Amino acid sequence: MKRIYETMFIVSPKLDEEERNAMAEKVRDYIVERVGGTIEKFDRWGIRKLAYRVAKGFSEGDYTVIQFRADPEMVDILERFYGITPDVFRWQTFRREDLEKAEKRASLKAAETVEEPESVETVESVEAAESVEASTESVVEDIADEAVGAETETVEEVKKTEE
Amino acid sequence: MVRDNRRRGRSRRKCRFCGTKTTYIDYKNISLLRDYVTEKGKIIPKRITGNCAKHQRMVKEAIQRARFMALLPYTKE
Repeated sequence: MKRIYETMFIVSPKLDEEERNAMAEKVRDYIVERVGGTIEKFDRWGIRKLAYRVAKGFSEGDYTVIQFRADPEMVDILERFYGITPDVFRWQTFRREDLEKAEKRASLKAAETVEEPESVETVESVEAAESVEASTESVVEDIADEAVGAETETVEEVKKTEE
Repeated sequence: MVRDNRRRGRSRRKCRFCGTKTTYIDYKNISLLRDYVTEKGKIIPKRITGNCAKHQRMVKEAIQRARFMALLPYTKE
């Protein structure tokens, strides 16, 4: 299953602007081609002052934030790429689990709303049956209960298939 | 104790993030994180900010990430 990741990296201010832009695009293309991810957000901050002087002596850097979706095993490839690229002197990649959870919740809700009309129908059939004899009414209710049980099962199945 | 809190001006009865049902605190939102570090750059404990444990963890995580990316200082003289 693909997961949502967010990565931020700082490019050395020694490069001129074109080279820095090229660097950011290189990372973006690398994620698409080698990591096998899909870019969801690509945000260039540009040159920004650092809160402290880093070991290499820079007091500013070029920030870029990328949000992407990729397989967990493939993210290491991106980290390795950062490691062998000296112009990227700080980077950070982590999973955005909150976004994944929000997505999951939204999809579950959508599944529920799709199945809701069915439950409304069963309620109506119960109401219609009330005019008939009491014995048949209880039978209809039993059927309705079973229908509700079946619905919850289908919801669970939907969950499984999603995972 | 109450007087002490009032003097510091940071007394909060309820966790600010619980009110908005926050599920993620962004480390890029530095103006928000600045409320949760002292002038020297230390993380303010939850007994003073009034954060619940869950959201204090999120704040901590966000501040640590921001520090690593040089968005917030580790220390300030």
